[in-house]
Amino acid sequence: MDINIEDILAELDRDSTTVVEPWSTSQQMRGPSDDVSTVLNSLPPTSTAAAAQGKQLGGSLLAREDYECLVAHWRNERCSPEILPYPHALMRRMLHRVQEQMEQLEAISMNFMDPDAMAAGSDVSGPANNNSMLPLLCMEAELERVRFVVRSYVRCRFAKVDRFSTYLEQLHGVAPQQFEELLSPEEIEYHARHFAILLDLFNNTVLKHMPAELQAINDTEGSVNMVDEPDWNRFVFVRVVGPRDGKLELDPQLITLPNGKHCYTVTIPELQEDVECTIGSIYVMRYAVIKDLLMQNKVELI
Amino acid sequence: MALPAHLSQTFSPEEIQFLVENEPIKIFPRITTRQQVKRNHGDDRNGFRSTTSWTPHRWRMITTDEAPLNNMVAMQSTNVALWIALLLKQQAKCNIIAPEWLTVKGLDRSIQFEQTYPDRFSPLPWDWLVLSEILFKRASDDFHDPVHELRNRIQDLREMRQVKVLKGLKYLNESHLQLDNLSLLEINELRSFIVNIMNKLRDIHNAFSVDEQGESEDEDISYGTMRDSSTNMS
Amino acid sequence: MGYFDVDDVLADAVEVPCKFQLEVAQVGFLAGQPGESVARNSKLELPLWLARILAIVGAGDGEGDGDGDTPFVELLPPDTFAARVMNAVKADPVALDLHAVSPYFYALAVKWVNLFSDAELGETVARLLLARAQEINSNAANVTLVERTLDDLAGPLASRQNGVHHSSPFMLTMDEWEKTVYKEAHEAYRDSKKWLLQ
Repeated sequence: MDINIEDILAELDRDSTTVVEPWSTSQQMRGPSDDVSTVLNSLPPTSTAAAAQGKQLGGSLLAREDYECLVAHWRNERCSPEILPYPHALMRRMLHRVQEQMEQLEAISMNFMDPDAMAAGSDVSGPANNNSMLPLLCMEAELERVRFVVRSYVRCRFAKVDRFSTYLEQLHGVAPQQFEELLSPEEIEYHARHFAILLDLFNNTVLKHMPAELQAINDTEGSVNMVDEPDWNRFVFVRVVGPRDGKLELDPQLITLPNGKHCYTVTIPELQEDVECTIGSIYVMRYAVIKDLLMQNKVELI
Repeated sequence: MALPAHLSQTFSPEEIQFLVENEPIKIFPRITTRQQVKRNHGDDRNGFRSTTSWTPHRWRMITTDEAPLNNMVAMQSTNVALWIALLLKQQAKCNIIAPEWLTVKGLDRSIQFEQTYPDRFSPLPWDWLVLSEILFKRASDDFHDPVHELRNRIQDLREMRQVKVLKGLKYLNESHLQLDNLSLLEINELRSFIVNIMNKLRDIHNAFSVDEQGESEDEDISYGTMRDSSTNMS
Repeated sequence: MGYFDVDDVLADAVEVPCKFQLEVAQVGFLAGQPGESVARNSKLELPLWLARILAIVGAGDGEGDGDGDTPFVELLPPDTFAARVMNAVKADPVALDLHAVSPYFYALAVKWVNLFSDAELGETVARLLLARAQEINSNAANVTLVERTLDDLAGPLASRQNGVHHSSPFMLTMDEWEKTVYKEAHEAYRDSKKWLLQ
């Protein structure tokens, strides 16, 4: 491999800003060109250990992995009929980085106004001064992009919290722990207050004028279930991506077809039909049929 | 506050553009950002970045690998996210290299494929339609081939694939569909139609077949989508 | 779908013919004769939500509503699914004025198929849907540049009614659910085209 001392120095330079984790050692040894997949593969996307050190994570490879993960969460959330589990650690890291970057940008803007600091920076035989605004421009644009994804993701979840408020309240009662893992603390508060307001409205406008036995809003015994649940069997577009670590041979669910392709077999219970989902292929499937694979990140909604 | 209803379960073309802009693309920078002199940035060795040491022409990114950006050498190709490439291009700081499939030769090959296989889509990347449109608009002077010839071929491809889609829609069913190599924008404009029709075919099918297979399945997963009209009435 | 689905409530309010299998006192109001009883073998049009219950529960020799009871009414096939209509469905699904047959055709069909586990009707309706789906799609995909300019000139009001003003005869025959399918598909096609032409 063609090793460039400049690249290694640049790597060291960057890594000095991060806590050296086991994976980043191997990364330095390999150089920047082929290390990305190694790092991605050896690192679970929402590792709790990484989350605990969220404050110290500044490495841009991990940042990139987190961002890709966030975008995947956003896409899955937009396409799934139900509200998906909230990625607590990932969002903490993401929001922390946004906060840090905003402070950074603010400091930079201050530097620009301070002639001494500018002079101190100009001893580098680097690009001409008229280029110096470029990174700033990029960093600001990037911040806007992250904000957009976070905002759209959160709004999408709020829409579902609104839509399924009775269902979520029911879940809250039946499985409080599952409920708390499903939603962020902010969403839980939002849901509680939204549900209380909704209930007040129902009571004051209609329900209190009705006989007691007709006042329920969560009757599941009648001919039509009052509690609006996600349509578990709604058709969704899904792309089969395979195990996250790329180790096909270690995935017990994978089957190798005679043509050398790998697939998961899923069953549509209502039709008593098995379907082979090949890695790399796109399917329109009932959500319930691929939900397990989605939870394991082996398929993504598109 | 919450997401507007028309965006639930689908994407707007602008959002697809956003996703495409995250993809890497090859550029020829017109600037050099690699620093010749190695200097201590004064970073806190405890792992915190010191905000005062930042020099104005250093990139520090939170969604993408910043190393290629801090190591650009004029006219040495490198890969960056498309949105960064477009930003540099706008500032006349780079040329964008069109991917191999987006050349007259590459597109002719795809057209050939579409003609040869009447019931398959050529393996174009998932963003072909959006990426080509973006580059035509924002970097048309970077193409080696005449842009109108590329445009015509993209249009031909689009129409040929639309004809195949129309044929495929005759096979919508209550079970599943396989749609390999269809790009995200193509999926997005068919999404609600396909989903609506297949959901209804599912409902019709469930209405006469679920009873024969017993109730348990029905309660497991299609609860809420099925109306049980014959019980619980007493 | 769901408890608060207005179209579903309206579909449940569609009246279907019923034949009373028992004489029932005090329900003459159903036939416009308050206070009277309804005689055995009388035929009445009742909303589906009521007819469905009366076709299941009944009275008889046994107690409660056990298996031995005779249901109050027998459901008769509504005009919506009469042989005449089914023949038209099979002959030329696209030419059929489905909205005239019933504005809630599919919703009603699913309910009916479910009540009687009528696989044959189910298959027929599925074929009808698939045939008409092609027509819905090709109408929805019809986004013309002219329409765009007209919209731009006429302002937001016209664009909200998008697609209605260049309707083909087929579009006047769509049932309520087909209309929503058309509308959503058309918006998706329109958005793509707008983005590509911007």
